[in-house]
Amino acid sequence: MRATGSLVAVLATICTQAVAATLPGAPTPGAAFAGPSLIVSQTGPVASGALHYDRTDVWRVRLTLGGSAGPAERLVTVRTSAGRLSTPALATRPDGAFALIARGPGVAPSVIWCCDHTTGLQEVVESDGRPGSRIPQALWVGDHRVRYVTLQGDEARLVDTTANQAGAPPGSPLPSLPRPGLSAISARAVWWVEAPAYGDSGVVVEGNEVSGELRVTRRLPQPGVVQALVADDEQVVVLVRRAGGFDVRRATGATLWTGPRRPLVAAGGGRVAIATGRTIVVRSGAVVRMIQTRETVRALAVATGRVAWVGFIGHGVHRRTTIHWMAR
Amino acid sequence: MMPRGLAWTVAALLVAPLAIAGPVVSVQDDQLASGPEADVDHRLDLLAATGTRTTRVDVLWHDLAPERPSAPRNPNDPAYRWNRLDAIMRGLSKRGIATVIGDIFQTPTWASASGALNAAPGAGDLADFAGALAARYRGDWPDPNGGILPELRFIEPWNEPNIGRYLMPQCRMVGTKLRPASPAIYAELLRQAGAAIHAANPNAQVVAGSAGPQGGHAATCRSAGDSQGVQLLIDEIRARRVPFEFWSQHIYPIGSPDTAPFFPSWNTLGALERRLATVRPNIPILVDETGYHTSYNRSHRYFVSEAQQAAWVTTTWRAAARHPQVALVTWFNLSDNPDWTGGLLRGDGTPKPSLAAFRALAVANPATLALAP
Repeated sequence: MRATGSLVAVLATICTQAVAATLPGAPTPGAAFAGPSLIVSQTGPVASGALHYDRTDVWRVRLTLGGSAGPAERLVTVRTSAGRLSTPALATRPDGAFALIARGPGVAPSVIWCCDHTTGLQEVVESDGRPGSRIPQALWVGDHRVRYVTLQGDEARLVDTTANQAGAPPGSPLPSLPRPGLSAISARAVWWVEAPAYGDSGVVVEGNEVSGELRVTRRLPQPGVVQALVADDEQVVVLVRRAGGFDVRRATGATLWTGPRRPLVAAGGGRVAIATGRTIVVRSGAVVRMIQTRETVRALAVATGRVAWVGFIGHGVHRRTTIHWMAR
Repeated sequence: MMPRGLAWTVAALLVAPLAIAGPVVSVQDDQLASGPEADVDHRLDLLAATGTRTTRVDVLWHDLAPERPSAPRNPNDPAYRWNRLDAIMRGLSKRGIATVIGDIFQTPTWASASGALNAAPGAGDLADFAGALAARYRGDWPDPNGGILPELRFIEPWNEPNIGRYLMPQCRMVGTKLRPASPAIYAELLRQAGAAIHAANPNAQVVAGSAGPQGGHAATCRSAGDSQGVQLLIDEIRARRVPFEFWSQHIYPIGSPDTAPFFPSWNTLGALERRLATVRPNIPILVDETGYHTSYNRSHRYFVSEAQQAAWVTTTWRAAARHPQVALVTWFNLSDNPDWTGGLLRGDGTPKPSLAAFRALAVANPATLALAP
């Protein structure tokens, strides 16, 4: 693989990073920075005798330069026997608050905001067990405000609500239908790849509110099939499959990385982090930094001046999740 | 095409008799006491449409006695606001739901040291209210609308005293360590309220415990939050020789009724039965809250699909029927709300598949709760 673009500097860091925190077990992880904290999700099946169910836990790990500032706090737990849970979509804020979409095939989806500073209580923004209920997709979180895209049949909507409002509003319609899992959202815009009836799998659509309604403001052609979209308030990044491999690029044009294997991609604070195996590439403007890790990177997060990754150690019942981070 | 095994299962369910020799079938609607008062008649109709003949009603002390009564044992004290509860009791009786369990909770501001609804009240204050309640609904009290008010025979003097959401404090500092406090507080509330209930209506049945679905073992009180085991409640009641007729336990299993392994669940009810036997043999158990949620909410983080919920309504009663000590099972709740998605009806009032399953069970099992032996 290779990072692309004009490079001002390439910094290589060999794996001497200490473990900032560990979590029990090794379910599928996810990660995102929330100010000085890292929000980490763990999702997987649980079996205890004849009992089987799926579980997602979301933890907050307070990071300091010396590692972590105390034990990880488990703030949200979702358990279900309705179906398999997928890794939740996470959106975070610099004050440590976050929102997530808990979802999975056959599972009633929910949007959860966490947490009130004084009571520590979470708010369930949306939770609907009806068969065929709308499925929240990408989300963004502001100060007690949550925006997310929903899909239901042949209708997509942008919901904009406060965390403590009773009942989620219906939201405003999107001008075209996104493909499931292929939308991203920021404070100012929504991006999606249109469903086959509406558009091409190689075009990212940008939508903005114009005169009170969401309209398509740009169509951004990509050099292959878009497989993932991630966004922060400064950029939208796409993972594109093309002949012979994958590209990670800004949707507006610049290719950041290219390689033969599908990578993990994270965006935050205008930075982009890309990981395959035990190698992480962090792009910040024209600066590229490479990190070699001890463990295979299972989840990745990046923010201004920081990168974090999640790996596994141990074997069998002793397997654990490890959290590492580096500041620059 | 339906898989053959599933087809057989469906066919078996269609022909299987739903009459289950075992616990009374019941459902509670918490909106009767806490929803808009103008909706009471409509809520009663919804409850009656489930086919149930037994229900549980929240007796919200805070609402019924917003000011301190000057003669608190007298139900006619002008401080009491019985209108709503009268309407509920009258309406239930009119609809053939004659057996009612009333669970008292929510401390009035005047009886609450912190002003919070979950603050432990003085045991004397609770006993006064419980006595007035038992007197008013002992089956011979004149109804202000004419006739006689129905009897409220089964009374629970608090709800889930082992959970901080309903009773605080749960723990207290003793020296440098937090120690369980709520078992002793609750045992004294039960002792005094139970005596007042029996004094006002000798036929009344005191239901102890109303234990929340949290833990079976002694707590460490590592935090000031919820930490009390059900066993500590039983041990404290036994130590103080507090009389009661029934034990109430709330069960919200993680997993199916047949497989859930944690306490309290149907598979671990034997542990509760053994602990209760140290008080006296064969105490009848009311599982007057159970259910499964159909989407995530912050009260319960485990949920199933609507189809699973419907299937597990019947499975729940079959699991309960394996325990002869279980005299009643109450599905909680009739309707969903943002903090509770375990209803037979969705929040918008449309029925979930579980409503039909519950109704079939209730109609086939019309028995109501008998007095404790």
